[in-house]
Amino acid sequence: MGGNLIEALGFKVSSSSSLPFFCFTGGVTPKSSLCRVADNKEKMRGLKLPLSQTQRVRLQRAFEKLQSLSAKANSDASVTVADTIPVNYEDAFLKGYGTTDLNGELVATVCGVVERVNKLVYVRALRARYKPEVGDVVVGRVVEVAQKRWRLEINFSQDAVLMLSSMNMPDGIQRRRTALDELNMRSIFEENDIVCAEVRNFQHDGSLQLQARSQKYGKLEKGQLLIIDPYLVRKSKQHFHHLEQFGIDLILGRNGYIWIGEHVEARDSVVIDQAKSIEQSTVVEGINRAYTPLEMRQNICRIANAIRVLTILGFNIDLNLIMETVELSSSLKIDIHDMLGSEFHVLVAEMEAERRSLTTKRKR
Amino acid sequence: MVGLSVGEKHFIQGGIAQDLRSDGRKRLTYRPIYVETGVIPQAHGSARVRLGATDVIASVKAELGKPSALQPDKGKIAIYVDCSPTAAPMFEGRGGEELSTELSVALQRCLLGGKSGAGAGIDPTSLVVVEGKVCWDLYIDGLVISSDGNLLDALAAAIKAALSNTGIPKVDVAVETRSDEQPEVNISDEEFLQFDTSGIPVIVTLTKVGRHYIVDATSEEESQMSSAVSISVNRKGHICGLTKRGGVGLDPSIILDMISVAKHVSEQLINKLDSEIAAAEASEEES
Repeated sequence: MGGNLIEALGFKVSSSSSLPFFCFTGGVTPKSSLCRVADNKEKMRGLKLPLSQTQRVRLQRAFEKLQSLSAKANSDASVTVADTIPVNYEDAFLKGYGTTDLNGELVATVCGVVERVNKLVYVRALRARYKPEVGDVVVGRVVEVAQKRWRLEINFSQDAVLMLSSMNMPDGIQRRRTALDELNMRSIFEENDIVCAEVRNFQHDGSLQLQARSQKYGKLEKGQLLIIDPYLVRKSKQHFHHLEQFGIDLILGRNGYIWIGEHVEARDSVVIDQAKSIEQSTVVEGINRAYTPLEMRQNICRIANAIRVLTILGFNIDLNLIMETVELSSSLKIDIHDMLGSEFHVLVAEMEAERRSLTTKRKR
Repeated sequence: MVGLSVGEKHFIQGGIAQDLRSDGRKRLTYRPIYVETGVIPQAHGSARVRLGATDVIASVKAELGKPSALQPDKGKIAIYVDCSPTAAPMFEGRGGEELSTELSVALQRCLLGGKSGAGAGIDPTSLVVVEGKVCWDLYIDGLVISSDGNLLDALAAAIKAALSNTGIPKVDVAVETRSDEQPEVNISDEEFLQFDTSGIPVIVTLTKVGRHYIVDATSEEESQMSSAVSISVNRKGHICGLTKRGGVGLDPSIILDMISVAKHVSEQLINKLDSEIAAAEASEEES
């Protein structure tokens, strides 16, 4: 019965309990309970790195160590399409998203992790688009300047909307937005600008409304934007990080857009007075002193590469992990570009396994 | 192509000016190159090359045909590139045709030499079976799966790897035939002839951004370019082809400087590529 369904869907599920979707998720998220990988070769193939034999063995060992340390060692939690979900059929339960009733059995329709909340059983898909929540900090790119609003692209199924009334005006006074303000919208944010904002609410058609009222939100310049998978950025207390020792701002957008740039003092989110327009014209003339200083640029690149390495390995991105990776690379005197080589990936996996085992030992 | 804000563009230009690009590379450093050979079993030779996020596949198919009357001692080689819609939404339908033709022409110019076949990277005289009557036609196809800049270099590397992976079947010709008849040929299934690919050139593309040139530009850096020169260099350090893209004019001294930079970069690239191809063939034999 299960076999017919699988063939009908055109999938080939190997007889061992390996997870074929590792080939295209490209990594392990050890914090969740994805532990069931019988075929390590499948997992290695998902990582597009040329590993020598010793490196392969070391990486495998690090991943196994992380798996064994995972909090919920519940190997039944991860499912692929057409897997039966183990449920006690005598208890009343609610079928949630990602499940379906097939011939009296509860079967998964997406690849992911089974979550149980009271009586609700659902499957949380792993590689999905960003799922917004109210109050999330997101980083987006302006795609359109429309009437009284900006449309931002935030790696969601629809473009988010930032209303003119949700922005602070440059003079700081709270007042009604006049027609002149509307005509000057482009002097605040133009097309292709990077903007940091917060999710305010959902609109009736499912799209998002953003607000940028606080001083820490607004246009982002002088840096680079990294795009990663949204599920790697977990909700935490702090999404804005000011790294004093480097003088760098790090913003972890929950939609998977990460901004790394020069530190800018918290100011009014909108600066459109004369001083800035003069500064922009001198910048356009291409004078060297407007470029980011070399040392700061090196730090920005190092942090960016650290984040790239962590996403390839599939670890959740948070500040401690990023800083440890950066310190590891500087202590080993690894060249910034060599951070993207296979050796450093293996070292980072080993370091994380070590650190995780130490913290669990301390807890016990 | 996603747009870039003014701040980001400035950051990229600053990085190139200070010899530290967004991913930490120097101006003349390539991204890591991954080569896999034998990815298409039905073709006589195939290879897949990944250069960062740029992903291309090249395949080589050989068919028996008649040589042209003007060059009876040479086989025929055709190179064609296709941009798949998976690389960018704009490539759907006929959108990718302009880019495909541009890449095909550039590759033909660099690898196939002139009309008479002189100076070609691939020697067409090795493809002839019976002079004037039977020869091999090589069809080299390139497919762009994912595009993150520097397509020409990746395609040339893929073609070089595919040709080293190619095995042309051995042909036995029936001896007693009159001179005006088509000879009978027997294509062997067992024995294969390998190509000698040491003469095949690689392409090095130099992108000029501001006052500096970079090698192996990502698509973000390519959006900032004023002009780009693609130079095809072979192992001996000779130039086999030259293509310039981009609207901004270049002073001739800059072009000469670019050529010498490309020659210097190509030495490392050829060595790296050869070792990667050898490793790929070795791992293909294992599996």
